[in-house]
Amino acid sequence: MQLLAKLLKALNSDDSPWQLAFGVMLGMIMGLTPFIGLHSVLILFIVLFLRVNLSTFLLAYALFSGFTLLLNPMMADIGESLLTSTDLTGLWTSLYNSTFGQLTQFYHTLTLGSLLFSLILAPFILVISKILVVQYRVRFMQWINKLKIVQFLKGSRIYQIYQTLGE
Amino acid sequence: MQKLIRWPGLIAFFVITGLIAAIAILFLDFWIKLAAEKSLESTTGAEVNIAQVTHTFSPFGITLSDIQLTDPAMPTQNQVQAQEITAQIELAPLLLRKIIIDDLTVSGVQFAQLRESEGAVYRTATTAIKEELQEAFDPKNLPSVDEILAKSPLKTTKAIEQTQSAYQKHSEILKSKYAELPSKDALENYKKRVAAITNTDYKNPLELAKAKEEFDTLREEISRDKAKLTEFKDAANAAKSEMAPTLAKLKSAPGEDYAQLQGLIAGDEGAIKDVTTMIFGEKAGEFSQYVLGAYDLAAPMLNKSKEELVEEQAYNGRWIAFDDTAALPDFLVRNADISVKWQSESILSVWHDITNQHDKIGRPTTFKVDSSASALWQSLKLNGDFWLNDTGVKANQDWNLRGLALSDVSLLEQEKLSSKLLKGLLSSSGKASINKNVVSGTGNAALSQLQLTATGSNNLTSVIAETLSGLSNLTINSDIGGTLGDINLSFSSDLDKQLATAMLSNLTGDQNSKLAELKQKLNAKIEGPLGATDSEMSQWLDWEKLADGDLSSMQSMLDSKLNSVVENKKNELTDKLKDKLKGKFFN
Repeated sequence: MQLLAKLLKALNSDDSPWQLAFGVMLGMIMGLTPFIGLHSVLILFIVLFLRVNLSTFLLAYALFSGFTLLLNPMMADIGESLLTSTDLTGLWTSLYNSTFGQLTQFYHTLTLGSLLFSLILAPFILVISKILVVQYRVRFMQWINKLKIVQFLKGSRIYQIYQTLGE
Repeated sequence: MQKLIRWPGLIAFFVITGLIAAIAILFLDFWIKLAAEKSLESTTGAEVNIAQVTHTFSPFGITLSDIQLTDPAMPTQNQVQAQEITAQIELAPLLLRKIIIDDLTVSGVQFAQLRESEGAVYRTATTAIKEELQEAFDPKNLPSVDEILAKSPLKTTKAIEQTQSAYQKHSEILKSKYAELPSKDALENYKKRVAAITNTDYKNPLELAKAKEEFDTLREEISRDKAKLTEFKDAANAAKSEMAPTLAKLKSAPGEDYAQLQGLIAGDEGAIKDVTTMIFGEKAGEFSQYVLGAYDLAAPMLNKSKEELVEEQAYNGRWIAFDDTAALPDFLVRNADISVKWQSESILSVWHDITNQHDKIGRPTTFKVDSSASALWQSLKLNGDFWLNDTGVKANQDWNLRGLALSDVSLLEQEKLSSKLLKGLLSSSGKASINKNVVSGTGNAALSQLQLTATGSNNLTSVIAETLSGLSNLTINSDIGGTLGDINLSFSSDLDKQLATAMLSNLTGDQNSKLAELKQKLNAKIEGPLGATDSEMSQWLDWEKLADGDLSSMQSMLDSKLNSVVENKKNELTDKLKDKLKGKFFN
């Protein structure tokens, strides 16, 4: 209920479709990768410092965290094959010896694999999210707002609180 | 640009990250305490308490105070406890998930100390030894003769098996060889043919030559049969030489079994044969905890590496190292001083390179105790090393303890038997080694100037108590075996024999009747096999005698008869030639 109210609030807000789409994309990266790591700090910084929609970010984070149960072995395999590739040993070794490399923890198979996987997925998620937001606002927003369940939600205290916070 | 940036968000970022850092630092000690307790509890299977944890940032180090590890076998006491553990940890390797401790100091280590409150046990302890002792000393639990015979590895049974197996092997060979021997008719036929050849008066050399040819053919036939007789005789000899000692063993086995098993009737297998372990085993086990304590450290480290492997297999990713820092193991203590408190004395052990990945550092963990004379002992030396890798543990250790003064040591406190060492001196030396997790070694403990007191409540335990009270010197030999984490110690001394003799001279009527039954049943066991084998053996001997007779008659046929014929003819021809020559020269 709370998540649905958040989503409705974001979709119905004046935020640009790109702000919402970036929220989904960054939430996806944060959700698929391990929580502890330099990349998480960087994503948090971008989300807070730039005007990325926080609601879609949190929603996407929760949603994609659930997908890791299925995707983790595959993403760890990607990291494993990259880190054990003899062609890349030189690159990894120099990165490993740098403070930056140590802080990124790239030498953890799941961290590298999931980060790479989510970065490859990122532009697609960004564009698809943007299109979906636009299409929603043009085609479905009015119809959805008329639904009884949505009206009930909008009348709920939680939605009112979100509304107040957003103003 | 302003549309893109959210300045309050920047403040929120710093507030959030700052809060996370503050919480981490604030609760660092608590988290270390929690992690250490949980990790140790999963290793020991019982409650672990750490009173306090403190840390310093420069140099980075932690101090754990008042650490107590509950003994899972006896939750009212601690398996081990330490007053303080201080570790200086290298920060950089921590980023690589490697714990490298430069200096570790463990002070006030004590074993088997009472806890303030009973600790929780998460894994069931092994069967209490004391319960087993109670049962062993109870005369009601004496086994029946049939139970003893069924459970004991009898020499009689083994001798019967050996006899039957040897008999079966030789019986088949002898029977088949006997069947191949020439019959009586064949021998008579040979005799007749030889007589016919040898008794004929040959008129000329041609007839003689023909007879010679015939005789050679006959001789070949006789020789072939003679070879069969010889083979049979050899087989009979081989059977006799193997069966004779086997039968002797079979005859003596019941007597030997009786001598060994009568102790079981007199008391109980454990009570008589293993009294050294029962009386001294518990205290010797505690002593061995000090001596073999290093292996207790090695065992969980080995488990730790296995657990890590399982975790990797769970596929939550793994850490891969790339440069020379890969040579660092996951856990390493470069130098450690561990001080064990025993009675009023402190035993300092010096350790180097404690790790579970010795292949990475290329050297073993070494430990050393070199304690000079103290109020409690004259000298104590202990040296050892261990090397852990994927195949298991390889370790060596030797110890030498001289003149440890013992006083008021309670050895056994049971309802039916209690004993106490009032005074004595202990010297002990030994060696132990581990190869691929299998522990082996020997040791001895010489107890001198002994003053023991013991009390028994029944016939059996009274005899034990009396024998114990009379002891002034005792040498206990111990065998160290088992596997890492499950070290078995067995003890033996001449005390066992002394007690067995004492026990047999104090038998009750019921025990005496059981002994008679035991003797009778043991003898009955060999009656059947012995009788059957004896009759078969006498048949073999008869066959052998027959074969001997046939062999000599054949030999005489071959040797004497033909020679005499040829010789006679030769002489006859010579005489004829002489007569002819005489006629030519003198006429």
